[in-house]
Amino acid sequence: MTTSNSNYWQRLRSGNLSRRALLRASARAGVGAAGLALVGCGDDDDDDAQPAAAQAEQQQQQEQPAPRQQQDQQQQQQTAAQAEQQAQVQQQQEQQQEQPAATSETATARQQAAASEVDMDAEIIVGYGSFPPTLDITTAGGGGGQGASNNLHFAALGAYNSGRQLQPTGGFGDWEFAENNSVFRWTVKQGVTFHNGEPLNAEAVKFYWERILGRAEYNPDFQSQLNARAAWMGDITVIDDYTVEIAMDPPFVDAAEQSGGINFGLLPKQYIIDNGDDHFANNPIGCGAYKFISWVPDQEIRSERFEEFAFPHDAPYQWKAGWAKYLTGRFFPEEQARAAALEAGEIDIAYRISPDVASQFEDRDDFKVIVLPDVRVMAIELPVNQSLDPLTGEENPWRDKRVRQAANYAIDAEAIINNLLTGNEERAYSPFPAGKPPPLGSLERQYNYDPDRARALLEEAGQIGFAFTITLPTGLWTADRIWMPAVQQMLNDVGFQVEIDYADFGNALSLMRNKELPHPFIFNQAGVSSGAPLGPAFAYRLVTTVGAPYSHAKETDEFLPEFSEFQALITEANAEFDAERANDLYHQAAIISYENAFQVPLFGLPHLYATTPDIFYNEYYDTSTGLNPIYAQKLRA
Amino acid sequence: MRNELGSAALGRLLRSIAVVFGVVTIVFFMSRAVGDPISRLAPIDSTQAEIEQIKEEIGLNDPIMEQYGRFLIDIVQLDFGQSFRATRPAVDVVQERLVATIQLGAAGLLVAFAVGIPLGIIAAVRRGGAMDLLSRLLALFGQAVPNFWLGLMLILFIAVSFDWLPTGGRTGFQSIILPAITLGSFPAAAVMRFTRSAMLDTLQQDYIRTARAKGLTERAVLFKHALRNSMLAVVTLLGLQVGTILSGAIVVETVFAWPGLGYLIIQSIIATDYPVVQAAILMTSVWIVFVNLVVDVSYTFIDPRIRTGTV
Amino acid sequence: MSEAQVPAVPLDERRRRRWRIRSPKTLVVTLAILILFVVLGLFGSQIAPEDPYRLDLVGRLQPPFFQSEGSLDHPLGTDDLGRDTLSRLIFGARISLVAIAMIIPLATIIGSLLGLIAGWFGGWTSRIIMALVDLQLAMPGILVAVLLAAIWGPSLRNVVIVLVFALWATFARIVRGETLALREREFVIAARTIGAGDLRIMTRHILPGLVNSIVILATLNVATVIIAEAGLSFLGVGVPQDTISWGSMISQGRDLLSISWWLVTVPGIAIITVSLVVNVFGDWLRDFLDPTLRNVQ
Repeated sequence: MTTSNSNYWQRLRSGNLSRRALLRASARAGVGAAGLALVGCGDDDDDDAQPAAAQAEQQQQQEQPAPRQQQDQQQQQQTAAQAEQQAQVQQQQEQQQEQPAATSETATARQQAAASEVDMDAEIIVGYGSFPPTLDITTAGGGGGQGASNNLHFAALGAYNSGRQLQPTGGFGDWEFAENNSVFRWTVKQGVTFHNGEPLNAEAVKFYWERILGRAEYNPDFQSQLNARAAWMGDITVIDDYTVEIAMDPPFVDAAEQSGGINFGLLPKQYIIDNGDDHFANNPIGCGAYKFISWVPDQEIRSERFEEFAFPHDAPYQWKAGWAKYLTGRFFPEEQARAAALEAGEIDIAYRISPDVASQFEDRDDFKVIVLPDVRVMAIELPVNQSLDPLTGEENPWRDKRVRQAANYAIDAEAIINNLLTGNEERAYSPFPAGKPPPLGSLERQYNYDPDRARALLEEAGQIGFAFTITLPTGLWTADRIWMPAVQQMLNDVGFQVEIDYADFGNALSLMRNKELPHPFIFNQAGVSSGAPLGPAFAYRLVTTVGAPYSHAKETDEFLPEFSEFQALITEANAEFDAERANDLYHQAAIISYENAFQVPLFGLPHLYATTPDIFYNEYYDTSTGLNPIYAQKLRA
Repeated sequence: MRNELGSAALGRLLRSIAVVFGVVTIVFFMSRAVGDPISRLAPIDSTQAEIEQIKEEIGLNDPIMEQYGRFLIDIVQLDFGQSFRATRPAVDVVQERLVATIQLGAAGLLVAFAVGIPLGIIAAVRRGGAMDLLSRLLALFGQAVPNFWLGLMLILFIAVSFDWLPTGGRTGFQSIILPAITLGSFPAAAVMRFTRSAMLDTLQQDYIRTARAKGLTERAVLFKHALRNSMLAVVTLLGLQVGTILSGAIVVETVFAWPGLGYLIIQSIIATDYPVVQAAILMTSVWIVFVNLVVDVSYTFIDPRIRTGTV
Repeated sequence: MSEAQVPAVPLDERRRRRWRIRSPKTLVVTLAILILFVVLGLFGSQIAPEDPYRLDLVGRLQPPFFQSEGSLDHPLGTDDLGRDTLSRLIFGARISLVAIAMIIPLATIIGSLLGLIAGWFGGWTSRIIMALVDLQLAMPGILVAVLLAAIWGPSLRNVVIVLVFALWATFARIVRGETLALREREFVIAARTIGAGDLRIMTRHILPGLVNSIVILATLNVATVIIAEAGLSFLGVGVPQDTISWGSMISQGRDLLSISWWLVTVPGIAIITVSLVVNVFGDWLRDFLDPTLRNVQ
């Protein structure tokens, strides 16, 4: 099973996010499969990826004993066959699109054909489950609701490909490491304007970083939730009108993500200085594909297509011009209300619904369901490094490996996937990619569902009846109120006593950021889905370790010896510029983490959306909010 | 006569102010009673240093009565602090929603009275008949059906299955119908029962018998005499129902995504936006007291007989 | 949330009724349902066919037995985690019963005592107590619940505090009114003239005259407690999410309203049935014990 380590992550990154599974999911949901074929397609070095991907698919097919196919097998086979067919067609198209030079003519023709059917004057109304508290991207935080606001109005310097890798070119700026990695340089795209006509240039870029860092003169007291992410930035120097450099000491591998990544929306300098932060928070101006019209807090946000947007519809990466003339977001925090509103024709897209609610729209002509995968994996993060339980003041039971392993054996992730989710999600062995059996290290076998073993381990550790709370940030993750009680009950069944704290998303995130959560919490940064071309560094930087934005670990903690080893590897890998070497380090660290059961990996979640039949969606970018209405097309009747 | 009425009204006003004062006091001491309020008064992602700073700024180290005094002064100036979620003054956030809630509350009351009064009258006039039984059954059900459940059923059957009315939100006249019905159902039962017994009472009075004896038509007796006198009693009910309506609104707004105060309160609790919760609770109480005051005072003017009584 | 006690219908004994709600038959049915409710609440854990927390992910969302996909294994179907609805319903009765058992006596005792004191002593004592009543009217229970939930998080303790706070004033108002009337009666005046102390008169002479009204009021408020507890739990400010209550069952079934109707409907019908029956019983009790109370508001 264990392949040579050197290339382990590399292969995974080359891009084969289980396309077949996705297609099956969307075929089952009766919809929009077309678009999903784009998912996970590679980018730069993808010329010879085709055979590799096919191979990987085949392999996967064999590996999966496919318990999920037992139900209505016939239908499954049929849809699978259809999906396969579609996949082939799509793959061809994809290839065409991936080589713009050679096939630009066909692509344009296709684009035109599509454009003629798309209603460019349409208004698309989206019912959201979370709404932002403010419209300024630098203060909105992780509280949710960015899909309705920030993602439309703002654009960041860097552009992602559909596998969420920042591209060095093709965004609002091109980036490079310069001068022996002591300087990070952005070259800003020329001729770009903000919605108010202000030009995008090096000065504006410098301003928006300095505002985040609290270094901007107009208001040094400005508080941004991004300042921790930007803390690596040294002096920021404008070289010429369109070039700006950030000093680095020490060199920072993740500089592109933490200066031009998704959260770093570009802002108009003069507008903010003239009008102030409070005004800006209610009247945002960016250079995104849609410009802001109006908002009524917790009710409605309206936006209009930005006609001078810097990119066309068929730009290769993330930044593409919008289709519908108007986008209106409405706020329905209750899922039932969202579904009812769609049913009653009040909205075009019901954002983020649960599989059960999706099932009621599935087999109907007047609705369709769009399924997008989340490439990140859910896990229970355990506080292993506090020697005393901060709540009881007694010995921390999580320090005992047997207790952690018991929690791992207790959870029947397969049953949850097959019965509570769509059945196409993958069980996670994170920090190894979902669906891939992990290298076992010193373990006899992987942690599969084994309640008897779990109870035995817990008994051995003398921890039957160990009572603890799990914090679940609610409101953003699919079906959280369905699978969470199942996980809870499964843990209780083997002898734990679990309470769930259903917390507000933004608040829970704040507590995690401050490392103030004394008990386990759920987070979706535990690893990557199988084949998702998401760098493992991304996941690790965020979870479990010291220095990660959301974790339990503090430097002052009393580390378990195994954790020290783990932490050292991660620290080293995070600073490693050589990708291959970094991958090796991550791989070693991952084995340590798995052997010691530092977390309880669960599964990846689907993102489900129900829409009216005239909504067409064929893009996939793994931004934190999933479906992005910029790319949604309303077709003419 | 004028003076007496004026002083009665003034007495009412003073009593109302005392009640508002009491509510403020309860809210203050309840929030202080449970340990350190800083965990709720500071944004949840504050650092230790920021917490210390905030503590110093708002004077949490001062004696409790001094804090209470300051709290009172702030409240009088409508200063409830900043909303954590919206980073604006909490009172602004609350005021935005007040209109929507008053609208819904008024519509709910309208439903309650428009349904309750006619049914009550019919039931009283046709006492013991089928209509009486029907309206009393309706009243029994009205008081037994939880409004959140009724709201869900209305959404399921009327908005979704038949597509007659919007399922939620505040998007025009039609969107208020279902929430108003849901909100009005419980008080409608109370209004109906009250109207019925008030009518029955009136109908047994001597002057009604006199009117009948004079040979007035039954219709004239009913509408000119009985109804007018019963309605006076029904007006008092209005004051009592305002509390029911506003607390009902919290539930109904949640079910129908109606962006009013109640909805705001629930959202703010989830987000632990304490200043907004506090402001919204106080504002709601002030409204209840205000409406009761208006009802009482106008009632005193309408019917001077009870001006000094203890209603 | 309050105001459940609304004047009932004065009977007009002279006129024969063609239509009646309170026939002996109704009373039997009413009592039967009430007894069933109490038995379920007390012995639910022995009666329930299944562990209400037991997961069955494969057998989730089964409809009630009378639908074609339903079975008698789960007569009222299963919820989204495959837990037996009937068993959860039975366990949910317990929370309602516990709430009633804690709230009604507390509210009754506090309210009646204060009402009695206000009515007997009058003057400033009465004014202060009546000001407290006004205070309650200005702060509906649900607001207090929200405040408490914001401070402590949801718990049964909150529900008890909130509903006692919401209900005591009703008792105080009515008991005060009755005490005022009783104070002028001959036997009280007689007792006073022979020099009986306040306490003695209040306990020996006035209280017995109040018992009927208090019992009736307490009965009529039972339904208020059931509905209010469910409402608070529905909003998430009542009992904690993990506790099985009829309100939280509705709240959890809400997202599946249009695919699994029974999840919302079954606990809803339970709430309605019990509230209805309690109210009918209360009305009957009022007619039986004290016909003069019909018009008390």
